[in-house]
Amino acid sequence: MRASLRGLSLDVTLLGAMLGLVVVGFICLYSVTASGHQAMLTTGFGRQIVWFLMGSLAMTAILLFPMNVFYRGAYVFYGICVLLLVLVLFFSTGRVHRWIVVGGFQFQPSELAKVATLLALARYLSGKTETTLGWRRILGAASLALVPALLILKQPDVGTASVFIALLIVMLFWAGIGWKAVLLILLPFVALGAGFHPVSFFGLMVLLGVAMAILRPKWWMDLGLVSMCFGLGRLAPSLWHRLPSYQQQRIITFLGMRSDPHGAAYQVIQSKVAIGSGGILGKGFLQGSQTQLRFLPEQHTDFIFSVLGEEFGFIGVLIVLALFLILFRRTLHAATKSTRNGFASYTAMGCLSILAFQCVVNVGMSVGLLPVTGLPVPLLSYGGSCLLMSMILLGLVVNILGRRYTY
Amino acid sequence: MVIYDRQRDRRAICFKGTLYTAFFILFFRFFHLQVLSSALYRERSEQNHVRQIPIMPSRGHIYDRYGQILVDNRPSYSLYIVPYEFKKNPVDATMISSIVGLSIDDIMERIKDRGNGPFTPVRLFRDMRFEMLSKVEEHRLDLRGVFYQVEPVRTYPSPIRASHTLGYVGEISSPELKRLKDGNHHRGDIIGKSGVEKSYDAVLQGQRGYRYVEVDVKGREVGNFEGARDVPSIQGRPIRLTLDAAMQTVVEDLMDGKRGAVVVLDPACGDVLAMASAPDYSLEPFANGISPDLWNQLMEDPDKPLLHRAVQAQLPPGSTYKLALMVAALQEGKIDPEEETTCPGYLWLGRRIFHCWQPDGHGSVNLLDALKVSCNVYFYRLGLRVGVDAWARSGKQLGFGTPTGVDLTGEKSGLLPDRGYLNEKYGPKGWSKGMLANLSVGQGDLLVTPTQMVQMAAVIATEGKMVQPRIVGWIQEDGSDVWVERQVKSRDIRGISPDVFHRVKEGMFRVVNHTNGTGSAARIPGIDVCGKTGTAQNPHGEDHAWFIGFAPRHDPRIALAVVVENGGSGGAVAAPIAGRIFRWFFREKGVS
Repeated sequence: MRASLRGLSLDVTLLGAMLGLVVVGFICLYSVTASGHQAMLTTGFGRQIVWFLMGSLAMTAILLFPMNVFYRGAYVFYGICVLLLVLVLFFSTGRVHRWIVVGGFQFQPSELAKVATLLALARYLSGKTETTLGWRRILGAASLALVPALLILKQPDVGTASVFIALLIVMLFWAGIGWKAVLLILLPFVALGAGFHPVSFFGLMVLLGVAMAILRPKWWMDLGLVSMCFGLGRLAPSLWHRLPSYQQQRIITFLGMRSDPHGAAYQVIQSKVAIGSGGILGKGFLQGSQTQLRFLPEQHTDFIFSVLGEEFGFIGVLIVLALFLILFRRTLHAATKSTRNGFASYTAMGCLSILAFQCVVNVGMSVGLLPVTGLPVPLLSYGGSCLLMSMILLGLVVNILGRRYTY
Repeated sequence: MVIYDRQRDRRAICFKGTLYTAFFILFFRFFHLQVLSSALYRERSEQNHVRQIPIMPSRGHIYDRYGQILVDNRPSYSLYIVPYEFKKNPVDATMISSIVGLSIDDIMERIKDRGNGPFTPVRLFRDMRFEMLSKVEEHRLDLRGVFYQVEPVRTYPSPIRASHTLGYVGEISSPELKRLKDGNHHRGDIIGKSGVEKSYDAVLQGQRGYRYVEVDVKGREVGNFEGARDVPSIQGRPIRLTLDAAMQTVVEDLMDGKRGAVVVLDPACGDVLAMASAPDYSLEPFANGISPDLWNQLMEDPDKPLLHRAVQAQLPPGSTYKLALMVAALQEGKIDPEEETTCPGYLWLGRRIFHCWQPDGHGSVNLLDALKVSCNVYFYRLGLRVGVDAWARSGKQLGFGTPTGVDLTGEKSGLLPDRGYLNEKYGPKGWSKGMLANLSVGQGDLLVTPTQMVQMAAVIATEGKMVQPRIVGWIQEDGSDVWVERQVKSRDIRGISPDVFHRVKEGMFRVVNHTNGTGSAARIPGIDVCGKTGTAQNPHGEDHAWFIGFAPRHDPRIALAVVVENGGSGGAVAAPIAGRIFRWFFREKGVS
């Protein structure tokens, strides 16, 4: 293999959007750290810049190689990452096993594992010859994604683990999983959850009816699905109430819905106040009272959007959302236009799913639409591993976009 | 493949649709927050009317093995302050300072921003007295951002002290907070600082909750905030110790006024039935924040009352360690137990003379006689015959030189010298027979903890079963009232035959029960007590008095180690204490 940049056209739109987002991230980070957090200002801000440089290096390195290099290395890389995830469970202190420290830099192997799982899934799914996905291949792909997801769940980090599930679903969908399979996999869980909320349960049954009318499956499948959903949904609450309270608590904790241990509800309120009080034009750089008085403990990671919203207002938010949309459109473009190389297409789709999922979940959280999970926004949030991971993913996308005519 | 690609295009449109929908929802939400209801949020941000106030969890109770409560909680009043308000209003500041009796500088130091932001309330004072409470209530309308609330404080209702083993609690310090960066610890938390309070802090701690209150422009609480549900605190889980409170009382009374430690063990399972370290201290003053004066007094006391001697004192074991040498000699086959040797009261080794404790000598003695009368000359010779390697090996097998693993923090490992250690410290030619002779009688560089000694007694009692001593026997399950027993950790010592232990036991029986035995003060009628005394020379003055033993000889039920620092001879000082404990135990618990 020869590393070369010949024949590679760089996608300036995507790179421009990415740089724009990183700069916005630095500005918001500066705003959070400028007041009070002296240590954060000197070390945190500096570190983030170092991580950005490392990310740029990684991107350049990725651009030097054609996609088949990543295809070949996918499984080995995946194996190494799973090993790292196992190691981090054993070799880190405290109750939360998330970081590995290398030379003073804390690193989260779970971020690298996202890239590795994505590549492994892309390779595995691009190897399929059948037109629709068989059960065996679905199970194979599921286990590729679930192994790291479960290891991360054990850390415990439910938010990051959910990224793997999103990745898996998107990849399977892109691989042409049948509608029936999607329904069969998702419906029982949805029904179990919806059973606790009569209105949602009713809505679900209506939706199911509509879906059956459109898809018109065989009568036995129709009947089976509807009765399964109905039964599960009706049974779930009564089963739940039979459990002793401490077991209920355990399940709630496991699902990451623990009754708000860090006062997440308070954070969301403060975040909404920050964003709302920003108005259309915002209060101006370093002028946000919510930001500067630090009502929010984890502002630089989880609630970076509240800083943006307060200090730069609706206009600032619109610009950032637009930049993200440009980024995601180009990524989707990479996935659809490179069908000649199945692996590249899957890779681009995986990148899209990880980046878009994290973005939407985090932003949704800071405006109080989604639960607080602690997922960072790609490129914007403080956190080196996340920035590096995002830049690696975008490096892959730029590579795919730039090389699509060469093979 | 054309159909396939068309299907793909359809799916790509699906993705595009989902993405745009999600972004549209977000867009609309921002529009709603920032354009439509901006005025409302702007007002809220100016008033900042919602406060998050912590609710402290109550720490788990601590019981003794029979369920008697040892450590409880009582309600108390804590004074909180919102730093932002304090700094804004200098008039209030002087008033608060006069009420709580702290200078403004002290208060500023307490409320210094450590990354929580100026609106997180900081606890200024714990366990307020009634006068203080009434003053705060009196000036309630003038004191902005000041409030008080009920919080649990540790209290110790039982007659036992066991201060070192239970441990004290205190407010988390900045370095501790930094070290425990796990999201479960916050500024103002009360955490265990020593003893089981520390080693089981994660169990006992519980989880703090929050309540959300609305405040007016002056920072005064006007009611509950409706927008967020309060988060209840989660109580810490209770634990049950293996200690027997009644026996602990007896042991503490016996050690009163002395300096030293006693550990009593159930040799079958390693349950610590009593563990005392003297002198001790009162835990009560720690519960609501110990005063600096009292703290300094404890720190500067030459008797070191804060030291948990049972696990942290590293002392020379003296003649009690002859048991370990005896194990080595018998196991290595270096000796005929019946062989007699003469003790003239001294032994020349090169140009140095080594004395027996009996200046006139013990005459002709065999192994068991020598143990009974604790003849040094016999054991000097034995040690030389066994050699340092076998001696160190058996010491290691019996658990010396490493912590026993008892579930208390800060346990020391003692010091078990071996060839490598001696070569390094004195040079390969710098040590010789004399040093080995000293080690043979438990002197020299050898250091042990009382818990290691009781562990050896238990190993001999069970003829080769090594149990890890445990202080906490049961922990309550999360949210239930089911007690879950902690696993007993025991293993069989390999490489030492039961026969060896059998002989050692016989020797220990004679020490207590035969005429001229040094441990006769531990003798009690009707029970076969086994033991060994020790009188350890040390550079700090009088000898340390040791006694280790167990009873009954067959099917032993308790093992113990007693040490009285600078107390005098083991037979005269430590053995009687052991005797009293044995007598109490077999009177109370009967003989099975």
